[in-house]
Amino acid sequence: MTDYKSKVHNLFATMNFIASEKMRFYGMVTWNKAESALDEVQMPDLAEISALTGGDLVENQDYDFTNMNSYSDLDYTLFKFNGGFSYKLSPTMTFTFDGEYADLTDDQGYVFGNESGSYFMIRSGFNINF
Amino acid sequence: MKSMLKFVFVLVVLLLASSIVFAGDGPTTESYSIWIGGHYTEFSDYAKKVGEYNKGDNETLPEFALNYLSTGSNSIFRFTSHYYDNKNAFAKLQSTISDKMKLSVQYRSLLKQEGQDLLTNIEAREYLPATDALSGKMLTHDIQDPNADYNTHRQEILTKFSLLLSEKNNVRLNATHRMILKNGHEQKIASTHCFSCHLTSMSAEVNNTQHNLEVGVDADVANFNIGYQFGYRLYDPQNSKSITYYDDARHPTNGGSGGEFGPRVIYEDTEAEFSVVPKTEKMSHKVKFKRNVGQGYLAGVIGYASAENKFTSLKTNSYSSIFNYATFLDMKTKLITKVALSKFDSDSIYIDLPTFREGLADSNYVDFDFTRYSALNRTNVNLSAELIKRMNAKTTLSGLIGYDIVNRDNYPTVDDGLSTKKLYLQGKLKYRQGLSMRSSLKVRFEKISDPFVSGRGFFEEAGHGDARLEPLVPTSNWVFYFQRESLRYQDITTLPTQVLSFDWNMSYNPSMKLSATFGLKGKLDKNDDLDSLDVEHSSFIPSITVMYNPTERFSMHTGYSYNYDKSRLPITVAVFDG
Amino acid sequence: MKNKVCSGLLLMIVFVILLTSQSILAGVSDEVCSSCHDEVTSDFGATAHGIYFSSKSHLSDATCETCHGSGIDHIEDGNPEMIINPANSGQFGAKELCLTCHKSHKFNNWNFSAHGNADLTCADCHTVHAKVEKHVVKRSSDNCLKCHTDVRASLSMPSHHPIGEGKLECVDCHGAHGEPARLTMDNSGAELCYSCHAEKEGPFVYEHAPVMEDCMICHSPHGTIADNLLKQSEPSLCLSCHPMHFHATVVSVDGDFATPQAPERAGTSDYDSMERGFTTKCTQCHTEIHGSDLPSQATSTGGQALTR
Repeated sequence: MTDYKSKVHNLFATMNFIASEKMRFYGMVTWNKAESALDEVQMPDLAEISALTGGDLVENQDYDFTNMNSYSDLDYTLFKFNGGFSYKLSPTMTFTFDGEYADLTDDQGYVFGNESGSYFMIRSGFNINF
Repeated sequence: MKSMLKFVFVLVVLLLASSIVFAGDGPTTESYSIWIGGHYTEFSDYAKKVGEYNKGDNETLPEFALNYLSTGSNSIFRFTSHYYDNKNAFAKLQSTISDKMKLSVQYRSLLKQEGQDLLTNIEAREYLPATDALSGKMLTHDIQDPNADYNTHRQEILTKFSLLLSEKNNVRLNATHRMILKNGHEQKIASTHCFSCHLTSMSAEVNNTQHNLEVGVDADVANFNIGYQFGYRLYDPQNSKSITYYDDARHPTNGGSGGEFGPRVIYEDTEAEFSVVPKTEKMSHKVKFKRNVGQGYLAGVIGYASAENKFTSLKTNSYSSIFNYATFLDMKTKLITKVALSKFDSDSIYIDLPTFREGLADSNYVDFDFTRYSALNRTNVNLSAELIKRMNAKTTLSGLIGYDIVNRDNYPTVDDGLSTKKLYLQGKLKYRQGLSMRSSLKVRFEKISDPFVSGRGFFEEAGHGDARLEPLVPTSNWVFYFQRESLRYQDITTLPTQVLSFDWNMSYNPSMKLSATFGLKGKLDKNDDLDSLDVEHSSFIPSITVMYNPTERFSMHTGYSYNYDKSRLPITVAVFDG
Repeated sequence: MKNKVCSGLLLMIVFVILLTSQSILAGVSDEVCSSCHDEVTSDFGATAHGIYFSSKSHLSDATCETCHGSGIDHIEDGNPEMIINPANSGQFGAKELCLTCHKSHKFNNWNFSAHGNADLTCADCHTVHAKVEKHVVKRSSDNCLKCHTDVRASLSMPSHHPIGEGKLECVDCHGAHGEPARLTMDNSGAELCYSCHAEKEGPFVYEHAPVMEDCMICHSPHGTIADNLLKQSEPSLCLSCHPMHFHATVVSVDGDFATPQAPERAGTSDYDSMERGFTTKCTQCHTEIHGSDLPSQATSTGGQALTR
């Protein structure tokens, strides 16, 4: 028998601020810590099982799974932020600028290797109403 | 570039459609906006996980959006679009003419990045410490395309159309078509395992199309609201073929004994295709109805569906019906009853296998041909009744009782079928104190007998025998592979026989500027039908969210949740060394 | 001719009486409502309802009271409880008001739905008084997540459907108005999943029984830590039902090795390599885990190992 446990913490916050008739700020931040793991495998006590099943069992070998529980553990931490502002240049034209940053830390490489990575994206443009 | 052209093509079609829509109805108000800009993206380290749904390239790209809204005297027309890059775009046209015709066409696309399994754990050779010798079990791998960029570009075009054919009986024609296209490359892994277990990884082109079409008509006739709906689905893969070589059968170290090892594999020394996804087709017919009955409503659906694998001609047929009735027993009491019946019938197929050790000197040969009955075959019955009572202006109480039966005939792992029965009880209390506080608590208990058993699942008591093997156990030296299989695959389940779950939440709004929501979900389940195994599962999810709007200009929304999940599971090893 | 004129006059009188009696019963004009609720009434003509009402001759005289009922009591003591407010009316209140006009057949199951029986009202999701240039339906996924807070957390997990990225929406899978037929009327309970993932449907020659039973035995669709929306990472999930290969118990050589019958298949292993190979990820070999039409290689499994 063994246990498989998952634990996830998730924190988020969004914000919207109208600084003036022309300017607005917005943003969002997310933090997610996710880990799951198999506990060490414990082979059953043969005497105990034998008592439960009336002695009808095949002898098992002295199997060793000392490291098995470590092969598939997962541990990711994701931090993500996006935010920006818009500024009204005229009644029909608005300038926007926003960006996004994400960072993923992988503390337990799986079959894809270490998946840690990050990216950022910045964006700007003009919105024109007709 | 192709995707870009497709996107532009869709835009043109949508704009042409819009001009047709407005041909006879000039707009009375009209507004449109464009957004023109660009973005720069930079990835570092491993981009495919953090950028799973983003394009993992460092680049600067133009970006634009176009929105258009027009309201006519009798119509509304809306067009929204956003082009991010040639793999991520969105466009939607919605048009309503009076209440007679509605049309919407939506295009959207995304890119899903896939990692490459490097198979680094598949590298081993057996060692015998007692004799300090290498032995015959080996694991090896070969990555044919280590630099492959695995990703899938998914495009979807969804068209919805609704037309009022007659106001008299509210006769309305509805049609929905959804086309999903997937293109890209994916990792395919072939395994051959006779004289060594060897995995070969290669890149394969993904190119498949899926069409979902639904056409129906609804009408109000006398006191009935009735409808018919025809459904059609076609999945058409045009993926590239993946071919590999399957080893010849021989002893892993000395290369001999082909005659002995040959019967242990169904095919050997051959190049063959693997990972073939079949073309499938499905059709369904549904008749729906609803009728006011007394103080309540009766609604139901009766349907038939048929799915076919065009590669093998295997078919599945299903027959289903649902009847729901809701009524107000008095001004403060509501009763909801539901009955559902369904039957699934999937073709069985005879599997003709090479006879094990036929013709060899030893007479211990076994014919393992078998008929594969489908695990889908079943009859489902679902019954439930829920009573909802408004106790007073602030409190509502409800109680639900339900009973589900899943009767599986010819279930593959249980000779006399498998019939699962589930009784569930649920209570729910809702409390509302004006706008300042709202809370609800739901508690549910389920008692399940004979839960689903995974086909070829594991065993609890060693030695469950296959009747065909019993005369051979334990004296035969030759049928051990079958003994091993028989020992390995038996018929117990680790799914629960008792489930207790609860869901509590409370919203507290001390002022118009502040509100907080607290929640706690939990689930405890266990299987108490097992003799020696101790299987249980628990999960808890506490959460809190806060919304704060101190001024009209500032708003904030924040929250935290914790998700804890624990499963106690058995680890079993087939007690046999081949 | 005379009879027709008389009949016409009679009908007109009845019509005028009816109109008059309605105004007497209702008693409050839109102008009166505007005196307090100008933010609603001033732009009402630009809302979807406003545009629709003005296009229909028989609805051109629709007033606030058409939806909100008589406002007399509300006017008298200013109590918001004294007028029908669809936004505050639960299942025992006046939510049916909207369905009086919105007779679409897609609402047939509202009375049996989870939302319908949870005291939700149309206004919880629909912004009735918004100008038409704003979406009448509140941006769906954000709107859903206000109540379904645990789902918000799941959508941030390492494996998830791309809802947070804006590529999909909750309503792509969920019918907010109650659509029991969607999940149960076709070939299996997995019908909803197959509507996008049709390649998993088959029917296949070699099945994986849980696929026939319920996708949710292995997958959690909102988000998981393990890849592919799996509830647990492999091999734990697989070992919940299946025994492992006995090969995992075998000790492996510490050092370089070659395969005698295929020298190009060489490698380096350590004491635990066999265990690592067989207890890391089952689908490295059992790739066709959702079903296959091609037999796996070993006779002993009857071709059912889903490796090809």
